[in-house]
Amino acid sequence: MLEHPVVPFLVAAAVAGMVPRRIGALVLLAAPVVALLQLLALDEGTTQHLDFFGYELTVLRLDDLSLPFAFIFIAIAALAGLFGFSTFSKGEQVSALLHAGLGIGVVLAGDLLTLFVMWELKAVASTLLIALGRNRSSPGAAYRYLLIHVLGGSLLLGGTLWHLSTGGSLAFDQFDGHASSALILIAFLLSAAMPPLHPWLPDAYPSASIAGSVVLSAFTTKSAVYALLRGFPGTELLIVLGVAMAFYGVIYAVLENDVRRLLSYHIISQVGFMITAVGIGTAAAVNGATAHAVAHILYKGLLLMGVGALVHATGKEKLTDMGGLARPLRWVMVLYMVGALSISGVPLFSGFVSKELVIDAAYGDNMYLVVYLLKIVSVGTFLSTALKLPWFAFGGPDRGIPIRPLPATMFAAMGITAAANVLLGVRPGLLYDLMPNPVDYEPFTASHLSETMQLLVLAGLGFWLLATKLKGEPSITLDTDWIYRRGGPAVVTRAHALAATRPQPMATARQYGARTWLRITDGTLGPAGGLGRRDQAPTPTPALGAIMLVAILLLLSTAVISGAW
Amino acid sequence: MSYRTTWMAVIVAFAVSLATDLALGASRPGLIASIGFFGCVGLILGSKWLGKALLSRPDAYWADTDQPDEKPDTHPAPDEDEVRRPEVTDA
Repeated sequence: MLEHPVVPFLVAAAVAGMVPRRIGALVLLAAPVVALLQLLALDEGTTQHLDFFGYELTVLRLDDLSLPFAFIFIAIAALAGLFGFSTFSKGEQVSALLHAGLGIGVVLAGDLLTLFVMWELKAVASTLLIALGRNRSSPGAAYRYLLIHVLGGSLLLGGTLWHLSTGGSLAFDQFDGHASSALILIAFLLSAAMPPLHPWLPDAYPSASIAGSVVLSAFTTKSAVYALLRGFPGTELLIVLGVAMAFYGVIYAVLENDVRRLLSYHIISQVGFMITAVGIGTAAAVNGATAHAVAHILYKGLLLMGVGALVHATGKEKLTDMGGLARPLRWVMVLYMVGALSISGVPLFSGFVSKELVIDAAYGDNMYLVVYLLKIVSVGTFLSTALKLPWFAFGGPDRGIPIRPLPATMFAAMGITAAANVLLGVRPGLLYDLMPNPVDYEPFTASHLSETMQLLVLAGLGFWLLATKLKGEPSITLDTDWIYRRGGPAVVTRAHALAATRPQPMATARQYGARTWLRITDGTLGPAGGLGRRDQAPTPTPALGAIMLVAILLLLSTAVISGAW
Repeated sequence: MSYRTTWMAVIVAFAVSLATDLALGASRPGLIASIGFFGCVGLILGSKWLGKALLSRPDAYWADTDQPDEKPDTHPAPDEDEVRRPEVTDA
């Protein structure tokens, strides 16, 4: 059991909690190294079992699908640890180690119960990481994040118990399409940030600290992509949802003024590519989703490190407050641009060799509409990350913004991640050899290169014509979280007003029921509840109590129905 | 690059793209170049319109807190004792 790659992360988290912060930073780097050695020592096809009250759990399953995810998760844990070497607080070190370790636990889980436990604990660890961010919005965002993910976890548990009660197997493999798997699918899509279930992502990720955002960007959505690849490959609905998701992200990114929120919307968009590939479900598409997840973790990590360095150096988060930073932060700009060219799919950078794999899978299945829609999304990605953001952050006259010096470890982390992106772009074989199926694709053909260059050059000219229109505005963009942050409280307040007009002494059963209901919704949706609070320091008890109650009731009722206990 | 030169560049880029497509025997010559240009223009104009018509709100929309936060912005500071004074570079 000790050779499980999760173990070094859990041990390191315990150690980091006890030692001084500076030593904890070293522990944060050591854990991934040990985990990597353990992973390399394990043979592909290894499984480890654990007997749990008569259930045989598969706590470790290392096969050709889980290997690339486990590998890249370990790599980004080390890189993020290096990036946050001098900025992570002690609490963040502990929660980052837990979050990374449990993310690896999710992709290595071979049965549904282990998956659920890892999934939920991972959500708790990421909540801590967000809450420990040093932004004014951190506690509120963390709290909303927790409530949404507890809902997702309840759906996963409910779906799993229902699946088991109808004779389904505990093994985590492709689901059979029974109604119970719909609950599990929704839980996975919620974690993958599928609109309209996505607003937790752009709400929470920019609220963490700068290195916290790098850690967060890697694990939650990509372990959901892994879970979808494992459980729902070839589900055609996912093609439509994936393309819609890819568009949703780029449209919001065009409107966004906050640099980390802009990149958060691009996570949604890029995960859309992966989910489209999951929906196509062929061997080539599974490779595409996996390769794009691996490359995405690397280039998105680099992009968030780049803007993290910007935020660290300037203390500013909005594009409208930046500008003229090309000279004082020259190397940050260069390294950021490596990430930007990678996500845009420019040849010789990592995104080119992975994104084309997804598009080629759609092409191979004659889904031309999907191909061309994803090409438009690629244009949007290039537009926001490689043109708009650097143009308004680095371009223009120097505004004399005070610059705080950046620690060398930040540059080291960005440099290594940038090198990895270029390496995968130049030698795609390194990436393709990791894939679950043999890759039969040559990225560097004349037609691929010509198509990509045409797309990017003409998009660049389009940007040049309209650059003034893209200039950021000091505004925010409403998203579906409005429903629970403003809509819910409005409904509850209105219900109270209605209840108050009723004659008071008539304590009928109906009124009693209404009051109980209001008590629950007050805790979650009301103006003083967790989701809809306007102040930033919510008192957790009522809302958490209500959510826990729902979770426990769901658990008990499914347990009774299924006769599991 | 002035407005006029940019338009010239667009036309040249379209012509080069079309020629390359024809030379390489692409199935739909000019399509990818059109997606690049009109996709970009469409995304900018479409998104901006959507923002104006429906989605944009003033910057302080979510910040209307009951208890205004007095804490200074301490993003990069891990521990209180390690806070470094920002250094102003000569611009």
